[in-house]
Amino acid sequence: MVADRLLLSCPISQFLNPPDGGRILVNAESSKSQLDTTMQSMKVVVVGAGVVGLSTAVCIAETLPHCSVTVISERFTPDTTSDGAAGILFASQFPDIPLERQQRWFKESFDHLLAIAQSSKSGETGVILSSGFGKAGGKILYGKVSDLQRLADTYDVIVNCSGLGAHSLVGDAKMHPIRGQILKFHAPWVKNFVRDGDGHTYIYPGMNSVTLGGTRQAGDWRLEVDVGDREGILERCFRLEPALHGGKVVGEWVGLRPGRESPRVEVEWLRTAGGQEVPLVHNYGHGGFGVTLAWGTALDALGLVRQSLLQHPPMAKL
Amino acid sequence: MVADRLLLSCPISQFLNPPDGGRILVNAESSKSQLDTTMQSMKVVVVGAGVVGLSTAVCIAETLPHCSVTVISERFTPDTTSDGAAGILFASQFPDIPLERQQRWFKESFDHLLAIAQSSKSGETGVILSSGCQVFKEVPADKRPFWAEHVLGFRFLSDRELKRFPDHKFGQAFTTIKCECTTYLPWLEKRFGKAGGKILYGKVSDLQRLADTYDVIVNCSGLGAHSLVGDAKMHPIRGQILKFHAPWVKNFVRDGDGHTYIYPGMNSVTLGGTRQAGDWRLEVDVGDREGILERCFRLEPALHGGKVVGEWVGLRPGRESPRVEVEWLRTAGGQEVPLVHNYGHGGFGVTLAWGTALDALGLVRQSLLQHPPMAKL
Repeated sequence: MVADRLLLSCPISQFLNPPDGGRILVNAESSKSQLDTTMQSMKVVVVGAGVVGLSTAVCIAETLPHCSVTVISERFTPDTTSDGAAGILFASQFPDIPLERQQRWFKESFDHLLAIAQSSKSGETGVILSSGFGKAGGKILYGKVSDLQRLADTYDVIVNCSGLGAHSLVGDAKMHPIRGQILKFHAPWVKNFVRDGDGHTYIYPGMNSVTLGGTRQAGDWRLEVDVGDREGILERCFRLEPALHGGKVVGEWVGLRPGRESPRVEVEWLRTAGGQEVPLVHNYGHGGFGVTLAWGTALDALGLVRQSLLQHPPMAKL
Repeated sequence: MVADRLLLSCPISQFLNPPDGGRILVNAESSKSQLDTTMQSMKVVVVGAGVVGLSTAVCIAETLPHCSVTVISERFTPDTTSDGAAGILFASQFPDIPLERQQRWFKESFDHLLAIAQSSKSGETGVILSSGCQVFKEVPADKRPFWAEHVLGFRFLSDRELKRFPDHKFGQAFTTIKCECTTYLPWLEKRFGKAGGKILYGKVSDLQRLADTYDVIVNCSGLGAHSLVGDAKMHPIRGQILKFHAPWVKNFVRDGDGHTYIYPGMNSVTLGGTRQAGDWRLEVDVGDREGILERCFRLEPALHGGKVVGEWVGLRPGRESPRVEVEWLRTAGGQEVPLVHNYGHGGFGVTLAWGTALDALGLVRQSLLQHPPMAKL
């Protein structure tokens, strides 16, 4: 974040007048300061408005103000998978990703949210992400994206935070749902979380209710509440935390975690009809750790965006 | 508690037929089993229905079922001083009372309430686990107080955790109990009723008169002891608090100087406070309110976005140390009636109620053996 902010304080350096009626070439070997092309802002689109999509969009919008950022999504809060998540931060170790990188993801996310939690913004944090994005000049579009190639005609950078949608959107066969059912429970005297290390039983006191869970059913696409699951959750939670007695169920929810053996945070290149190379930065597949890793992976995605803009500076789209 | 329950299982031993039309003498040298005078139950009266009075009454009623226990009080929940207390358990060291006894008071109270907090009764009783930290602007001489081993998970705050408190140099984190008397006292009253206890409403101004009717008097009159027994050591320590809605704040924070605290409760967060010795004012002081809000927001910025939902003032029954001991009243008829005192807990009534109640129970049992009462017919 600090390194990126240094970019913003760099002085505006030379611009090249468009020699051929519209195209601006930025010398790939130019120093970072030459990315400051206020003549033409980079058009970035982020697909997906869950916690990973919005965190990534905010990162980019706040750090690269010369990028105009648009979020396109079929669903927004409170209808995303993230909205049902209890949102307790702790991690699990993924295979195939260097531990040092996973440590960084967790630490950056934790430190970022810790600062908010200990500040005067703690109570309103629910709306911080969306208002932060708006303040940074971001735009919101509602719509289902089914063809990234078409986005490449309009945008200079595509960031794919489509979660479980990546299964069809980019044909990632590794994506699979991990079904999670939870109950919202009124027991405001329960202030501390309890979790069974096997991951199947947890009690997470929240702002307005206690989340009781849960289930982890891989490959299960059902979005309806399962009565058997509900009974099982209540039974296990009451056994783990007897203090729940006297409370009452105030809601239920089912979500499909965007499961993958590890999150995919990397760039690939699309080629437009006109022969341009457009970077497609992936940031999806966080499974049950979207809230936990959103900020850290968003920072990585931001780095990939910046790197791509330097590597293959885009042709201006007029 | 266990020793007292053994008394109940002793067989009924010999009774003396009343020789003189009504009096039953129980041999003072008799073994404990001879206290089992089912012919005549001992009449115990407890004065005061705050957390100390009700705890003591419940202890006696449940442990000595051959005592009939009556609570007399001018005020009952939700109008007692205990009802306004945040009810967070941790102690302070009193002068003049052996440390070992204070440890026992704290441990017995804590363990008693911990069992409730970790059970299915937690919500119904208002007894809950509460985690948080206490921070100090200057490193205290006693970094690890005597109660540290009795609360759960006591540790010092790390440097990273202290970053949150730029004005403070040292801190302790632990999990303790919060016992909310507006819920706990009604539950104690129910328990008392189940054990055969009786409730009477009324202001007691003369203990001597009670001595004519009762075999044992237990004085849990709190600040009232100032006039009731003429204890000049009793003085109010005025405390003002705010009730605040901020349900996202789950952990307590307390400044070690005792003047600023944030205690999340079942339905609201208690913000405090003041400690004005000798101040009898029961009205809310606007200056105090502003001060409390300012200090609490500085200590816990996460309170922003919340709102005040209530205010309250209470007078802690201040004394340099709680008085838990027996003295003897002599009735007009020449009988000796034990008067067991259990008052003067200051800001530690909830914290020490059960432990001192057990001590008071012990004193009641001891007195009955020492000077077995004449039956009052």
